[in-house]
Amino acid sequence: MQVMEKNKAAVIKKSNAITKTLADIKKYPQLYIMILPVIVFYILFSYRPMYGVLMAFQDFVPLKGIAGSDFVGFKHFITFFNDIYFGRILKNTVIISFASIIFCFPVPIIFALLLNEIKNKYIVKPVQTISYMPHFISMVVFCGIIRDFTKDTGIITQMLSKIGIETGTMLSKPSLFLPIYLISDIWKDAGWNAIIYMAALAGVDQQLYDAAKVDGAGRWHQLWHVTISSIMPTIVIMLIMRLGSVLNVGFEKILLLYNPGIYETSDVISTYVYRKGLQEFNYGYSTAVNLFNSVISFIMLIAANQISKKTTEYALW
Amino acid sequence: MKKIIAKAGVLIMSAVMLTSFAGCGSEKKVSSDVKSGGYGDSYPIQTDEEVNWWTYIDANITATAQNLGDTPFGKKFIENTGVNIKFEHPSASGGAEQFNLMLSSGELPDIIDHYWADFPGGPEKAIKDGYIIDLSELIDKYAPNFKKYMEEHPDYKKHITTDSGAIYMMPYISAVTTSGGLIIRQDWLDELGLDMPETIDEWYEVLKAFKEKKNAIAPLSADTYMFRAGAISGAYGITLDVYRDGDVVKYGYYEDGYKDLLTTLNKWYNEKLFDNNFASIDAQTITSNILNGTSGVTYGGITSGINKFMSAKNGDPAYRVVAAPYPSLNKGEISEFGQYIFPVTVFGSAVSSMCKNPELAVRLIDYTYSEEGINLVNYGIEGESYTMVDGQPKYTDEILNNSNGLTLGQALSQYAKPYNCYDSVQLIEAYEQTLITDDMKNALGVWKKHNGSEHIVTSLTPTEEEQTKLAEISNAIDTYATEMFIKFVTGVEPIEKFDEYKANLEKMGVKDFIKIKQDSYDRMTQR
Repeated sequence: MQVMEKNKAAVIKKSNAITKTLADIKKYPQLYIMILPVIVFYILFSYRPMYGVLMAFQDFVPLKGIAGSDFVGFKHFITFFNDIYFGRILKNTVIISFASIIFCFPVPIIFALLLNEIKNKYIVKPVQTISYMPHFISMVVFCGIIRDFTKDTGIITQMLSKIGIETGTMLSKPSLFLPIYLISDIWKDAGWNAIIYMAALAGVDQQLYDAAKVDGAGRWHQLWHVTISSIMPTIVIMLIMRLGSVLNVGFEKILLLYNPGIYETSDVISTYVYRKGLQEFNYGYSTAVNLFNSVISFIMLIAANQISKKTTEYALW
Repeated sequence: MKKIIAKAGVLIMSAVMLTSFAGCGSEKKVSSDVKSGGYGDSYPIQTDEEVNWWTYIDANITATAQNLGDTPFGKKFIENTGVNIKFEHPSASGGAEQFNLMLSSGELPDIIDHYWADFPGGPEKAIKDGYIIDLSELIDKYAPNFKKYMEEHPDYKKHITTDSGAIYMMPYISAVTTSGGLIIRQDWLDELGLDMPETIDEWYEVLKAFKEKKNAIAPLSADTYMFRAGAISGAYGITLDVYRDGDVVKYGYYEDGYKDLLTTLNKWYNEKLFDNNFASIDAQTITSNILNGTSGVTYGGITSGINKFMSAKNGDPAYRVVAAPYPSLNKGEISEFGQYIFPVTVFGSAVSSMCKNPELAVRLIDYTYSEEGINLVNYGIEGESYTMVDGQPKYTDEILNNSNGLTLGQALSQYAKPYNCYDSVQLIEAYEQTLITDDMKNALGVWKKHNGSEHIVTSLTPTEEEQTKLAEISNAIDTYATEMFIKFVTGVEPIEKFDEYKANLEKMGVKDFIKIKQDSYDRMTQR
């Protein structure tokens, strides 16, 4: 009886939702027309192609198509998990990803906070512009610069050797890959990523500072209790989004920087799949690994969101 | 959330784009009842059909035209064959990627030029997966010139045939067997009073002298390709690739001579005689190194090396680079390995499975093996790129010393197709005319001295079962071997671990790997 009641309620609720939406559409047709292209876009380009993941379970041959290729079940997944490099590439991917969250993620926040404290706009503007410029250098050129600076006769290697640190060609030392990756990442993108925090900081209500001052808060207290608290939602959302792409490390950058001598620390899932899958026309295998990637990312995203919701009350949804 | 979906979507989308066209790829069966010579026996062919021809073009061509059809050569080719050819090219830099994309797009041109012998999984797979078709019957009926050429060279046929008997391409036949090797600064040798080095010990002394007296930061600058070609590694009786000793197939990374090579290279690396950036060096850096005195030795070709450096040198009138012989271990010996181009190259023209008219395609490719076609490909157009002198074609001055400042390669590529060719037969007489300086001419003889031809393993076509096994193990072995090569040379791993390294290779299945290569080789010799 109760169940029926509940079902009935649900049905009413559902029909309510439909009639309400229809009414809403009648009321604001222009708004719905405006959102229509976006919905069509996602259906066409994001949802419709999804049946392509079937390739992950096939020995896919392009000319035969998904309908014509042989199904092989979980063969590609088993091959991937049994691959002798599976442990290494997964480890590298996770290490590089988490290291960049730990080291690279806070830098733009700190940078934005520092800039925010400078009240002279003739200093703030140029500093900001200069700091986000490197973002616009193309990745190929950028990696060329890194390779050049870190070779045995490169400027950075030479400077280090002046202060007594002999490194030789840095990109042939497995242990140096991660620092090079992280530091160059900060150099390239910290300024750019700070923009969103700068925007958030600009929106902080001046009255909050005044009130804090009246309450006797010093500069540190204002920073902690007003500034950081105000931009916390932005930080959390950025962090959740970052966690969602935890297995998607900078493929392009690694591909341009690494060499076989430092595979030990630099070979990640995407570069390995590139070598093994695409160069050998093994489309099924590549799709399988990417599907694995997406599933992990999806889980990470949901987990991060839930944790954040519980602990900070900020969440994406 | 949306971001993730969008990302996944893009990934998957590309996958679907690949498949949605697949339906168009209905199988084309070659009808066997077409009368012999359906398009006549002579050129130009009487037809108004259009043929799409995918081929690679190099920087020599792009210097003057963006499409082969726009060059005088292309126009003449179309005129002589009478077929309306539309050439399609990948961009000069991303050829391999665009080839992959083209295959997966599901829309194949009629004729596809590629290094088919190196197709991942073997040419047999290219036919089985439906990219290209078996040409054996078609050649029999529609390619009299090619057929005649192959009959004159009976031992060539097995190199373009798979184990199941299918002919997968019509190859480019190379007349030059060696066109690359070590290149050294002769003016430095002269200045320091040194002889041309021949043995590994002499090379060591020379590199050391370059470092100490000429302030070369990295006396030997090259990427790891040179060890696969056999330079230096040849002294130790190996090459970093699959090769054979007699009829026994071997894998250089798994041989004992490899340890000696690593020891030497590690020593050279530590003393900074061997470029410390070798693992990630690119061609441009090597070129600038050899031009600005950072290095005195590199690995390169005659045109792409010696001639390029000599024409790019500036300022120093004494600057001179020449070919150096492949090093040996003991005086008087010759290197076991060196660059060796098998006459039947891995490059060839194949007919795609979507070709509207395979008979016409084969007829068209066959033109490049006719006397007129070979002449056009090698010498170009009479009166423009060559003239007849004493009954022999000779390149004109416009080619050899171009008035518009074009290099020989660029000038010649307008009228002929001497480089980057995927069919036809190279003429050694024509090639030798392009060697304009004595140093270039001598290079041929200097680099020829090695036993590379006795070790070549080519045209292997693994069976499907072997292919499955190879797909599992070869990538792992290859990755590990190249990784450890760099680590041993740089000293990140000490050479004492060599036995451990070999044991690891065994664990990865290197013995199975070699056995498969051996079996494929045995089958190839019996074709």
